[in-house]
Amino acid sequence: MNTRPVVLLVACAVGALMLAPDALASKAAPDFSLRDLTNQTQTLSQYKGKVVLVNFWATWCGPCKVEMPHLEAMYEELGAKGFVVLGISADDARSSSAVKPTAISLGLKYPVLQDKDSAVVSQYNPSKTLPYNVVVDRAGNIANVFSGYNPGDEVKVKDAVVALLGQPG
Amino acid sequence: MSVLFLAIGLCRVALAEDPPADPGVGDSPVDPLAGPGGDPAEDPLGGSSPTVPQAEGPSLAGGGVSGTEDLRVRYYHVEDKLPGFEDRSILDYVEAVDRLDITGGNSRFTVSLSGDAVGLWGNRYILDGELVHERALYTDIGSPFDDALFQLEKVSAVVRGKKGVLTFGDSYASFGRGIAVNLNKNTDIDVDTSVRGVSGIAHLGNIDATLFTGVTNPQQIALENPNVGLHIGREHAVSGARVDVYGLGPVNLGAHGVLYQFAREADPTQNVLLAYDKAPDAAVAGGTVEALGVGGIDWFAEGDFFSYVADDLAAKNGYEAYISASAYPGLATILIEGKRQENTEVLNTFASPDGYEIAAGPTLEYERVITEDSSAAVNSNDLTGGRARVDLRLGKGTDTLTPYISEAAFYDAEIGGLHFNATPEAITHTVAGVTWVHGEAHLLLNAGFRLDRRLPDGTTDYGADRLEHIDASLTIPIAGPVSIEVAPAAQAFHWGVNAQQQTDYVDFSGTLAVKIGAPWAIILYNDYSSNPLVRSTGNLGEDLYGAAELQWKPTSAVTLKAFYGAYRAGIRCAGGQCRSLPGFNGARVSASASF
Repeated sequence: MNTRPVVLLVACAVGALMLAPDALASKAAPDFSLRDLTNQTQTLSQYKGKVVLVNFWATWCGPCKVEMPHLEAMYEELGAKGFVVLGISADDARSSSAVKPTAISLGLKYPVLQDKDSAVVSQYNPSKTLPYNVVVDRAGNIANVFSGYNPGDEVKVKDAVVALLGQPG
Repeated sequence: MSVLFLAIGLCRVALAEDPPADPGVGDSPVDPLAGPGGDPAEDPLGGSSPTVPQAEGPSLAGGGVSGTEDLRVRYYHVEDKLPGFEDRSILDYVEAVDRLDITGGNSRFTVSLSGDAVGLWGNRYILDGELVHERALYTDIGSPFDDALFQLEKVSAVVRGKKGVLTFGDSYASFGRGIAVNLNKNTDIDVDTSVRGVSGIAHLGNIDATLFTGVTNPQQIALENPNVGLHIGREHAVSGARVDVYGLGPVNLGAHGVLYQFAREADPTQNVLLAYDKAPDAAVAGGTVEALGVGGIDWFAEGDFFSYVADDLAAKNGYEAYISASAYPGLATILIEGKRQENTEVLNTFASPDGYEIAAGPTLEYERVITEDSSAAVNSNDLTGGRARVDLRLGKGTDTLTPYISEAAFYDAEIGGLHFNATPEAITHTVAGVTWVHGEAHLLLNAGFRLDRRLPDGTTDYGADRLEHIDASLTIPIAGPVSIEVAPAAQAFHWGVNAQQQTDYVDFSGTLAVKIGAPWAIILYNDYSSNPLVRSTGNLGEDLYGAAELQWKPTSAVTLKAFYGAYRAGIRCAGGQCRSLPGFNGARVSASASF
């Protein structure tokens, strides 16, 4: 039985996983340009100098709907200190009509953008895990990634954001 | 050739730099949903955050490489035994799948690669002195290994200018509401079909112009499902263009066209550029109108006309019209949608056999409970229907209660085939539920009743198919970092009179999770199905399945899982597409990481 390729495959994969760090340093966040729910263009680069939480979610994602009110609370509390949340809907085109009603029923005030053709999700979150949070520091680097949501995860996200807000731009 | 010239023109526009003075979004209309560009009074802190800095160009930071890695190692316990060796599990085998996604570059230019590797262990045995290969991992895909395959699934280079984005390699395509084209990433059901070619979007003031051309590139190796008999997919040539005009008062207009040339069989030697020398098999042209806040309502309407040229397509033309209206009076949000479609599914004739759809418009279904019966309506070529949903948000912040009710109605005039019926159906589906969030605790509850009534033809009463369903997810903090999540789901299906005369059935699945802070979770799964169409066997009984999983997140970017047990086969739908997915019995270790 020729098991060498499989052993090599698993060894490489495990090695890469072991090297995956908690905090990512000096990884430039790819810029993007998407329409918000009022059809205004929003880019990541326009928020340079702020700490940005890019939150990937979808209308059919239950944990996302539980997490987002916590993100809204964080946005309202820390917005004055230079913190922004960009909620990127990973819904595809067919469920676009439900995005704005869902955002309003969740009481969101932060910008909600639509990525109908997976252009941004394929760059940031290729496995399309939802919810998925990417924290971008004031310099435009990816500082942290948070995958999935369990109760209490929002505390870790907030800790990461607060730490970055304390750093100079 | 005109497509190439158009692509070159789009490149030049997309990469052009603007003069430094850019108004940015700070001038955007006041709307809380537009975020910090809105009225500062919307910020409860009244601070400076709502002021959006003027755009300084797209450059954010220096370069770097990031990515994700997903590893799955699955041990399959196969119930079937080799004749004469019933006491041994000779047919059991192990599968390892690894997916590596890497993106490198800076904020203006990135190169992305997505590669899959899959290997099988224990896939062979020696019987009577002869080596027997139990299952072929692949058929006509070249690999130097019998039981292993490496595949570069996606490659793309993205260039971002101030006026647009240009992508070489794999990108995705979706126009309007996905009726004309909707090639997308749908990893929930292991579907990820891109267009390999060139695509670009140019922002020209209030106009967005989008163009793409290439061939379909479905993902070959599945991450979450067994890989057996992998074969080269058919490459369908697809080209499309769309123009959106924004800011005509409250109105936005769009128009698009898509050309298709379908491959009847896989031919890796074919030069894809030859596709441009042939007449298209199908063309779709459509337009959209969006009006925000007109009469206090957000309106959207789309119409698409399908022209089928090829003789081996089942129709000569088709069309779909879709309209939605949403309003937000007080604490309520109201969404009403309607559609009429005829011969639109014909477009997917040559893609469906490879497990994906080229175009999928709004289904207006509660997709969590799509059954063998209702999937026929999802894929109907003659359907009229609509859905209305009302949500009422009570409370504020992280202490809210949001009940909702949704009512859908369809008239499905397609008969035969998957529809199991001789006359058209009138379908109604009521779903009600609630989302409750109270700090760390939450409840998501949905319950509904669906009736597919086959219309009598004057001689026979065909009765109706009935479905009752309920699903919930309840999370309660217990003490300290410990919380419990319970997620039961059940449905009961009763067939009406039809030629197949299938058996009524009951499905149940339950999940009990104990979560210990963010890092640890222990999850117990339980499945039951008496549906004779489910092609899997339980590990706790003929129809009963049980499993346990341990999850550990050593860091926020790494998730490790160990699973042992079984779950059932069944239809799973996401993104308007449905797949019949196999069950599982065995053990599985999975790891996912971002780096």
